[in-house]
Amino acid sequence: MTLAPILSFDATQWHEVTKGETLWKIAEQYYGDGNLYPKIFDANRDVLKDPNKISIGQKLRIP
Amino acid sequence: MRRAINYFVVTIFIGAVMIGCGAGDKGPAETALKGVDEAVTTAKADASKYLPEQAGSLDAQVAALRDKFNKGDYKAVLADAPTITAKAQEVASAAAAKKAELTKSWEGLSSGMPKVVEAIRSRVDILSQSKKLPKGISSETLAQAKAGLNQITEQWNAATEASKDGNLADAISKASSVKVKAAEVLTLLKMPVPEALKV
Repeated sequence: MTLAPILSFDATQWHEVTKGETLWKIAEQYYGDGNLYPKIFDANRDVLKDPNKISIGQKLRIP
Repeated sequence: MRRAINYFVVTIFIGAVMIGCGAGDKGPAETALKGVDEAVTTAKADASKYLPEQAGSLDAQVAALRDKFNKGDYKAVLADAPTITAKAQEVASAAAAKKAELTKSWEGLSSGMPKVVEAIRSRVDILSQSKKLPKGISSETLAQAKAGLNQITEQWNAATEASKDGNLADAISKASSVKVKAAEVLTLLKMPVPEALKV
């Protein structure tokens, strides 16, 4: 009997921050509305302390 | 005439011996039939749920064996019983293996699918609050995604109910429809489709 590989069910969407981006811009890209940036901030409280401070290369969860 | 009488007597004697031997087999045949019944009943506990065709075949074999017993063909009962008992044990093992396989599949689905459904629900909720939808997602697309989410929720609830009732095969079949629909909705929403939904 061969065991089936365990495949991931993880549907998390990730975004890697690039130069010049803000949470507002990222929210606009994924949701069409920059005003929804708190959704992204809340989903990344473990890595973000201030919604105005994000770093290049940081990987953010997009809920 | 005398020779004819001798033949008649010998024939009667052989017949009596044969009947005597047959009657002597009745007890062991009855025991063998009981053993087969027990083996098949044990095998069917799981087989009727996980391998219904094989369970049906066992029933047919037991019925044929009982028929032979009722007709007094005890030798045939004694000859066939070990084969059917072995087959019952084989079916019991196969059913146990099938049950283990389905249980493992269901465990994977039941721990993974709720995360996928939640990811879709979260995105649909957020996009529903958006004043302007992102590039590539129209209001029609969002409406389709919402309808898809409702279907997914209903189908997933049905799958969970089936598993609670012990119908793992049915639960997995329903969950497969959920996987297909979820992959469709994730694609509509421009979200990544997990590997587990691609198979």
